[in-house]
Amino acid sequence: MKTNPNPDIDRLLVKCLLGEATAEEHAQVAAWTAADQEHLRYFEDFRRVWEESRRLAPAGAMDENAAWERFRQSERFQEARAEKFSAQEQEPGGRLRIPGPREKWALVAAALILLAGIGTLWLVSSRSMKGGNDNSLLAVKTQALTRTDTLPDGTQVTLNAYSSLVFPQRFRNDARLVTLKGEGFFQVVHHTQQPFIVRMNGVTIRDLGTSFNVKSRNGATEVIVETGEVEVVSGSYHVKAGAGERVDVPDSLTKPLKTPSVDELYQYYRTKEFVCRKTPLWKLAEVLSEAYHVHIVIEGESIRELPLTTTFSNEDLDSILNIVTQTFGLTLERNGQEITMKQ
Amino acid sequence: MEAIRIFNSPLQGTGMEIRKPGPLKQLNAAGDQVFEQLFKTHFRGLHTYACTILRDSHLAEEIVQTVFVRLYERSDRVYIESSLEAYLYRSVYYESLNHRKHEKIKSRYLSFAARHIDQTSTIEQGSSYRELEIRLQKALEELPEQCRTIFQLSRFEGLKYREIAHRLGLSVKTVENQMGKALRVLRGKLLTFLSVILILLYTIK
Repeated sequence: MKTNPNPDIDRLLVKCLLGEATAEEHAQVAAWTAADQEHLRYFEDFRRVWEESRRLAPAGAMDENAAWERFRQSERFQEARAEKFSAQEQEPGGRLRIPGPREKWALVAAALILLAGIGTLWLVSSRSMKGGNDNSLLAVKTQALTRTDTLPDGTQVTLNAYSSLVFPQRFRNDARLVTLKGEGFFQVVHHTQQPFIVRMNGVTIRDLGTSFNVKSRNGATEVIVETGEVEVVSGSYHVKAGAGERVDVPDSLTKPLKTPSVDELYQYYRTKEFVCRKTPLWKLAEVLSEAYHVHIVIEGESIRELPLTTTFSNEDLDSILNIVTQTFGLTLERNGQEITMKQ
Repeated sequence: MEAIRIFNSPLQGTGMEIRKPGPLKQLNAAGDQVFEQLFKTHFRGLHTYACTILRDSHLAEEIVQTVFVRLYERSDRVYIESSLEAYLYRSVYYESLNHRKHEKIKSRYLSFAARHIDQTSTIEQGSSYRELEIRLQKALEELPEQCRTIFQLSRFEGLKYREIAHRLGLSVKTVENQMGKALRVLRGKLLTFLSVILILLYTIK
């Protein structure tokens, strides 16, 4: 293949092919192809590629109106709607916005509940005029504090801070579907005919008579089973996990990884206790950082793995940090939210 | 709808995270009617795009749904500079490629390709054409996003340069250059197969 002396010629050749060229450009291309047999072949190759590429055109277009109906009724869109209306209320000073009468969709019932001392929670109910009652979705959102709720089927949910759960006002007969963001613990009332299903990050967690914790961390999903059994579905993978096991799904559609659950630290937001059993220091620091919204840094590789066995019940961050640093003889530096532990 | 603008930055695509509070208010306050219109206007083109990449109509619809759910979720905090259409096509492109990365889809695609090779392997000419098709598909996938999207609109939606430029918020010159580049790259990747086809054509004649 000869290198092309005229870098702009490709642009002109394609213009000629597609009928976009001016008379002058056509003349330029004609002169170029006439000058050299290789040029002509080069142009013919372009034509060939252009013609052949048409074979890749997909057959038959989809009807956009039918597609819209499917989309409108899809759970993902319904969930996004419920989320959106609940999220709007998070803005400081925001009021519940009810769409005007001109809107196709109407927000029929809405409640705004402020629970002083427990944290702030918004319940928003929306329903479509077309869809009727069964489509109604509720969203529960937590702010800085955790919250325990009972769902319509009797299942108990504890939401960690800054988490949300979307669930229907009335569960379907064949499945109880909920969507979680953040972290939550589920104590499920098991019905064989109506499995309880949690969805998060494109991963599906199905209860098989269970209590379990589900958490999202940067798109990864973590499930820890306390009692019973769950099935985790990600893409084409199905993994069952029983009591004392955990399943990690790094990304949606990726293969779930099952390991023994090594500690109970993750329960802190529900039990108000930090239970450490030979827990490495880095792990405790990670959980404390998350629980108290601080950033704890451990300086020095040698102290990261120091194991700690103890239980902190209802203690504040400062006293926990004091106990830890005194136990290991470490020094502590605190600058606002930045905390450093070192030898 | 022309007033809607989306940020034109490399952040776009799947990992887009734009904090600037911005318009797209239409999607919010005027609500779902505008959104429905957007969906219906762009569905076909986007679906076709996902289809040419994934060769699976159902999957392609899911991809388009994903992109619209994301747009809906983020409509109150996303600025659209350049054009909404460019943003949608870009999102569908990246979302489709992401899907392709997944093993299952990859293997499904490979078996699709293998099946087609098998079906036609008895007829030499057909086989070369099939192979060319598969090569072409692969070569297309290796084009950069903007180049690929422009090629899509020109080849599979039959749009004129001027129309493509208008929809994607680009100059006509950019479209011309990108099309030139697309054909140059495709030719480069298909060179050996093109010569096979040409020989076949001459022998038939």
